Amino acid sequence: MDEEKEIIAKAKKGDKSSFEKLVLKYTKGLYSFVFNILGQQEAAQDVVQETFTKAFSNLNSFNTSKNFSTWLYTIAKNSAFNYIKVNKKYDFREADESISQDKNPEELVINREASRALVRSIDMLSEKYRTLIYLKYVNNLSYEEISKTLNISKSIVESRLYTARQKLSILLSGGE
Amino acid sequence: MNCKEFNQYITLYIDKELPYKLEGEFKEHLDNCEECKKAYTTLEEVHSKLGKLFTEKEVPIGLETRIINNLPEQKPRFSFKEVFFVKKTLAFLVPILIVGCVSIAAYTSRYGIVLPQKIEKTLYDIPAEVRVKDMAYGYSDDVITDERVIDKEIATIEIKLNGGEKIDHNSPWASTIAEPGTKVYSIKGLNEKEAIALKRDGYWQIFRVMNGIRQSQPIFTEDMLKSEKIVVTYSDNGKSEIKEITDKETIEKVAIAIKNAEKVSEPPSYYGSKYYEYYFVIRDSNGIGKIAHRYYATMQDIDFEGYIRTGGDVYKLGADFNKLITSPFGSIQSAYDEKLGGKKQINEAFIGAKVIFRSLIKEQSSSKSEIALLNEGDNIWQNGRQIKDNLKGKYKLQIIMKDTTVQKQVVEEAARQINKTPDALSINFTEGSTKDTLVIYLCFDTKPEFNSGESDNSFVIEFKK
Repeated sequence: MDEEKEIIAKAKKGDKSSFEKLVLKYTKGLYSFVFNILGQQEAAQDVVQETFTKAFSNLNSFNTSKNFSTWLYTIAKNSAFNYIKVNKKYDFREADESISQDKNPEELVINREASRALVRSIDMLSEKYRTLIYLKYVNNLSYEEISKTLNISKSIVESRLYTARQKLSILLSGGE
Repeated sequence: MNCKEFNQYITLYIDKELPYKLEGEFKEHLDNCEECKKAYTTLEEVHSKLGKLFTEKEVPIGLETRIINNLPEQKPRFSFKEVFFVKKTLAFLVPILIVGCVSIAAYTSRYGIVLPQKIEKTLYDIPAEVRVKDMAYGYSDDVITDERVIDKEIATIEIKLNGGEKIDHNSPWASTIAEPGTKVYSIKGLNEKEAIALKRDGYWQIFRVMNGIRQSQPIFTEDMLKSEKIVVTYSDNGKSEIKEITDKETIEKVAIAIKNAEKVSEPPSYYGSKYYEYYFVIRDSNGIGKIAHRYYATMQDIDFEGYIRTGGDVYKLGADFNKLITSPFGSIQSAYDEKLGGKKQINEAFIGAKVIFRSLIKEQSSSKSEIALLNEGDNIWQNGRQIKDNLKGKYKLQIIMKDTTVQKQVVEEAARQINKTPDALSINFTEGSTKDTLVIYLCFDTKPEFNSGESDNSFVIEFKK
């Protein structure tokens, strides 16, 4: 993660090649995340592109003491939901053929709605829990690595992950 | 292992962090305690959902390259955030500097203390772009529309600053952006301690003393209604293009749309990849162009609202405004608008002196578009069959677009704009040999001269007038 901080610092100074490293690192995960929300390949590609453009244009406003993936995924989430809002007439019933071979259309809609509900629930968590979710699932970090990144003990990592999942479970079942 | 211990280990087990020696006991308790199994299942389900949400899927080929190629070349000169930052910084620093200067002056006059030769100030924190002595000028949003407002040469930039340098009261003319040798001019009607002008890359630029500039400007003044033209610079992901609106009726409509803009308290979230700048060219009673203020506006979508920002104020514009000064780049957001098509839709369909058909069709090795000039009597496509030409006009431009689904509305939009194509009589659309092939005919009586080309999913035909 320290290496990533160095890359971000260089990108902030206008080094485009450093930002390209971030594009290469995060595109795959970001595309999957956005695709799960939108359920449409072309739209997901556009939103991922928009996310990186926004991130690049606003990198100066990113606080380097914060977690980059949380920031980036928040932009992607906002862009994806904005996309749905703007294109609300278009309900993506025509999912991509390649995907619909594996799943029936109803299943696709259910999966998409479930993903949207989960993203909204993550968004309702406070920042300390949200960051942990991103470090665990996006950056695939171990407790040890998360503990070093956030400068907290491993037992706090564990207890926060427990609480975060419990809160998500309550939110997903319709609780407050 | 008891229930309390089990609960402590659930997260560790799910995340594969539980020490191996405890796994056996954990699994045993899981199999034998219904209540703990329930608690475990709840958390495991969330873990599994999160896993699926973030599981990496196969990325379409070329996406990373497309993203990198489309990154803005350079960031917008001023993002709105930066503008606010400058304002805040100045608001904070100016009183400190004033108090500081007054105190030093009072102190020295009373005790007769000789000041050191160099006074270090914190002005280097300000993105000042032209400096002399202890003055700092910042690039302003004002535009010189008429060279006759330039008064006389007053200085020459001597030093190029890289930012971060400390300045003293003996500093010569220096700039963070202008090269040494650039002349500095005064402006008629403005004190040079208020504003100066520089000519860079063939354009005049006004720099104002940074004493709280970027105040809100009135977005509407009556003389806008009678302005000579509106100059609009569109920026979209690093590309930019300038357009001048000279039609009196449109100028008036734009000014009225601005007059009707509603002040809002909450600024929209804005990231700056697509925006425009505009200013009105207005002449005084002697026919001399006044100094114009350049406004910045967002362009979320031509079909939706936009916003103008000036100083700390934000005004919401209706869709009318965006439509009046439509961007030459079209609107990314409306690419999936229902009325513009479906899954494999045409992104933009402009018919004009420059005809652009852009499609979001999937990558394929063969050419996606073909163009041919047909003479009277040549075969044309109609509903998937080739028949003898029954269209009016001696010449037809046949544009075949493969692998695309074009919806009726796109065709209508293109047909609506046909009068913008030089000398065209009509535009016709029909299916080609397959249902996903669209054939467009532009009909002419005189032989059209044109260039055409295909790149980045765009098919462009440019007519020579």
